Amino acid sequence: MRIIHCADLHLDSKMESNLNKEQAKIRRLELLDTFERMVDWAEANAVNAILVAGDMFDKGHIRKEAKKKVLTAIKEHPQIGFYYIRGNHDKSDFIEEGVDDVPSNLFMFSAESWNSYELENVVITGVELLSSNSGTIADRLVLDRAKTNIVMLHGQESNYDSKADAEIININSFKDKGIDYMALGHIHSYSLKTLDDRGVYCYSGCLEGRGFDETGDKGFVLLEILDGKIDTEFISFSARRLHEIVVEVDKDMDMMSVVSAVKNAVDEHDVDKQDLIKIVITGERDLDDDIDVNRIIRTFAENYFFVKCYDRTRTYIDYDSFLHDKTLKGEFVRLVQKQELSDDDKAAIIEMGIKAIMGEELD
Amino acid sequence: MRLVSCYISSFGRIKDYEYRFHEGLNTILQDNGWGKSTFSAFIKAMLYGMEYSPRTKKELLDRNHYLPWDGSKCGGVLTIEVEGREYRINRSFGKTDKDDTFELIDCSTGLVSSDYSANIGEELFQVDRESFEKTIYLPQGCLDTGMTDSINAKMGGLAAAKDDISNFDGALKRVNAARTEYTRNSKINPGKLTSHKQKLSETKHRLERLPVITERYDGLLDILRSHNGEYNLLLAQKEAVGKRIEEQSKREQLIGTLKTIHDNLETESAELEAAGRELKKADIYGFSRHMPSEEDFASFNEQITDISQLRAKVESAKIQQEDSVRLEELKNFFARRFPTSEELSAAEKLAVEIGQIDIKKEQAKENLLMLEAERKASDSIKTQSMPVGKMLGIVLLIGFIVSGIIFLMGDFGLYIAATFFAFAMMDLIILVVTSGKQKSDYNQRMLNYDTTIEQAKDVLEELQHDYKEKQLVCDDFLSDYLVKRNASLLENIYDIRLKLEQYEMLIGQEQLLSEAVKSTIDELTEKQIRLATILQPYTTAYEVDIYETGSEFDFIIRLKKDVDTYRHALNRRDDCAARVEALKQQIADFEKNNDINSKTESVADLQETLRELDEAITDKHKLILKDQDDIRDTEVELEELTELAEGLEAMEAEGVELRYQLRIIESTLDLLQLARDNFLSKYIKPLKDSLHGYLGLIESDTQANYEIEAYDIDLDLNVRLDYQGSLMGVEYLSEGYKDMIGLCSRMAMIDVLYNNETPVIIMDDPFVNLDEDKLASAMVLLKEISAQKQIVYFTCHKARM
Repeated sequence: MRIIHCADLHLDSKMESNLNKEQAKIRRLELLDTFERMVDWAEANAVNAILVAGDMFDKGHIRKEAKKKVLTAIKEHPQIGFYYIRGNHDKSDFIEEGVDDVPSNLFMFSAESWNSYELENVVITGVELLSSNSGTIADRLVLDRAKTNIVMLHGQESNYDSKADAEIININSFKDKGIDYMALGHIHSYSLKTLDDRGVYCYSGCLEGRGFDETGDKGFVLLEILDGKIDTEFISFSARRLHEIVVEVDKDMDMMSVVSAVKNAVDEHDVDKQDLIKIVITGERDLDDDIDVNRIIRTFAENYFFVKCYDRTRTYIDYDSFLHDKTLKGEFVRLVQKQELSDDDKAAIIEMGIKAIMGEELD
Repeated sequence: MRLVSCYISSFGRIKDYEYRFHEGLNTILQDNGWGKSTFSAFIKAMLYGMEYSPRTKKELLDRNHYLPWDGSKCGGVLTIEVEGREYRINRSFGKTDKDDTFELIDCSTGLVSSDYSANIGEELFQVDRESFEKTIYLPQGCLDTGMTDSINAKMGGLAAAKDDISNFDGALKRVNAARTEYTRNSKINPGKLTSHKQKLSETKHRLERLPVITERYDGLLDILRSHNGEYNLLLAQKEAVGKRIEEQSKREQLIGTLKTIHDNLETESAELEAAGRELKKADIYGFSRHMPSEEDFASFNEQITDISQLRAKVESAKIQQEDSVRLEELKNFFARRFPTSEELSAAEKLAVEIGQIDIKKEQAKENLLMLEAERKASDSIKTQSMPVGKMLGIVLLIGFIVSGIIFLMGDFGLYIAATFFAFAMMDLIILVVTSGKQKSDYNQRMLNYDTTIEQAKDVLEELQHDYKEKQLVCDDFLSDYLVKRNASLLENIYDIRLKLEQYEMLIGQEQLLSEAVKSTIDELTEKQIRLATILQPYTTAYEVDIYETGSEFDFIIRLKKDVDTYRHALNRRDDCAARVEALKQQIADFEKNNDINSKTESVADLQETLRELDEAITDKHKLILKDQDDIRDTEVELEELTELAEGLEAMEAEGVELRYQLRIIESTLDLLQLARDNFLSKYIKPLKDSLHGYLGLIESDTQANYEIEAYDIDLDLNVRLDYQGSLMGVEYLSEGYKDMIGLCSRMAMIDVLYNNETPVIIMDDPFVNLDEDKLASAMVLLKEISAQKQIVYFTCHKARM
């Protein structure tokens, strides 16, 4: 038997804020497209079930178009069972009781108690995590050890219970319960760890990175179950990957050297042309120097779907050089140095003041 | 720097004027209108050139003021000493700066020097023209100083900071402009932060509708849900009514069926009764008491078969039936008597003869008829029309004659015509001869015919007589037998012979057979008796004696038939009874399971209810469609607001960033200002000290009860008086005192500004407003100053010397 474990789809949500309108629209649609592709892949690879461990959506009102696409994908694949557990963001009107027809192959869970669904010799059990049940759900979980048990939850793994935060999953409390595989959601990066002698717990990560806090490979986990044994494989499936590339420069580098350093750093990363890149320039630069962020963006923008660049360099100010500077500039720098401000603020003020004194355009 | 001498060739109203300067105070006593201001302007122009700007109004430019009206060349020579070296400045001025000339001559060499440029004043004193004017030149009533960039720079003696200071106002302006870019309140072009605040405010204002719209949306969803529930309820009711209709239909059907069952029961009961009667009728032979079974019949049939076989044997011992019948027929045929063989032979012979006679008779008749017909035919020939040959002969004759005539008349000649006439004559002769012969032949023929006919008649009569006699004998013979009328005599006699032979054969067979079956007959009799005994109960009932009649088979057939009839009737009766029972049971079951007496809605009523439900469902559906429209409309706004809400966080973050940028800008502005102040404050103290020094030179009673320390000079070189804790501007003082203070502040500024290169000070009767006391003080001040500096002092009154 084959089962897909995915989570944190956040379908139809807002994307990276620096994308232009067209790019943002494309990415938003790609979230849905990737979900549809995954379902098609499941059909082509004889997958019996798809587990969505929470956060399929993340807002109250889902656009009709998005809702229709998801429901259509589910309905058009009646041979695949969709097991959907709502997450902390899933407060949406995706399925409105009394309003929408629930597809017969969509199985949902509640917060009141554990629900189980049998799929041949595999039992899929899940419950929605709330503050009212998070402390007791582990105790209330009873599984038939003779079966292959998959448990679905959405929350943050922890080694302790917390009454304050509803989304805490105390991993220790789920040991030795006959669990073969914990299909978890909430953390947007893939991780697979040992639960106990019998089973493992896994965060599949999200299907598509939406911002530069979700970089790297994204996709789903494929479970192959044979004779009660589960083999897992992470399948990288996102249409695009996001990369944050940090480039360290020093004050002796001119702009050409900086661009060259950026190019080397980009080449070292496994970046495809459809990917998104965030370049962060760090290090030091001279007071009189500027990192031409726009030039860097222009250099790489045409090669990739989206490029943004941040100048996070520290302005190097040799305060000692201004010690005996009798000019107004020297007076100004010494004065700023004495202020009770952060180093970054001081650097910004000095940079602006000097630029103004030198007659340069202020950004 | 020290002025050595000057020569004014033409400058304003001064022409061709020369003056030698000496160190210290150079007093020039001239009347008003001489050109003291012009002289001062000349000094300035020789050091700084004359300003030219096409945009500046003409009346404001020195150039336009001092260019000679007569068009003579404006300019002159100024000799100066700088650090022990004398230079001669040759300068002329035209209408524009492009017409100006400048030449610097090193007096020691007499050669043009490039030690200084046309901007020699700024190079020497490191202040610009304006600053020079505001410091070096003290005109009448114009002792205000004010700060300029170059003064500030000069006060620091910091030539390297000239770029800083010269751009300082620009820097402040730029930073201020940058701040304005953020804070501008213009409606047309608001600043970034202003614009952002507006946008954020608008977004938040719009988002205030989000809970309302969400509530409305949820409310509409609730309504839709409710309507859907009602709709589903109606559908369920419809389904229930449908089922009730179905049940009621079935019930009504069952009731109908029950009625049918009752009817059927009635029918079946009638049929049962009829079957009963039929059974009774079929039981007339007592089958109800004893009825042979199929096995019995099988046994009967077996016995009958035996009997039949025996009988057949017996029968077969008899002559065949047909033979028997035939024998019987023959017996009947020969009932009168059996003919002997001799009689039959004689009859046959007679019959043959009769036959022959009959033939002859017929022949004779035919002969007679033929003769008569021939005679008649011969007779008719005479009266017949001419025979064909004769006619042909006549035609030929005519033909020959006509042809002859034609040939005779024609050109063919007499010979041919004669031939034709000859043939015609021959033909005529032949015709006559043949006619005569024909008549004679006819007569003879007639006579022959009559004779022959008579003879034939006689023969015939004789034959007829003989025939009659023989016929009578035969008829007599045949009268004992039933013969066929339409057969001939001979046939009948042959028939009689045949029949006799058959009779004799059959009678012989019969006798032989009856001897052979005697034992069989006994067996047959026994079996017949046995069977009759077995069947006796039945035969008695039927009043039939099968032994006597030998009709066992028929009886059994009949018995079987009647038994079958009885059995059929019995089965029919039993079936009827079973059906009646079943129907009664059905009725009982139905009455048990259905309360047929209970009042239920009829199908028609239920259908009416169904129709009403359908109407309600349709109305509800329309309502639901309307709800969905409302939801769709609300969804559009909800989606917009949701998108806005999603962007709010980013917008607020943008605001934070903008405010941070503004904070940096404002901090930069403040700190730049502060740096400037700090920067300048380092140089204001010496200025103040110098001011106080110069004020101290003035007599104490001229201070008008103001302490020297009360005088302050600010960063803009404005002198203020600290009067009872308030800083007052000197404009509140008398003109004379203002001038004194202005002179002191100017002197103080010159002291601070010109540390290295002390310029000449040009005073254009600055004390004109002073009273005697103050004038005295001013003179003291002047004397003091002149000890340190070269002064060119213009006055128009000796009292002020």
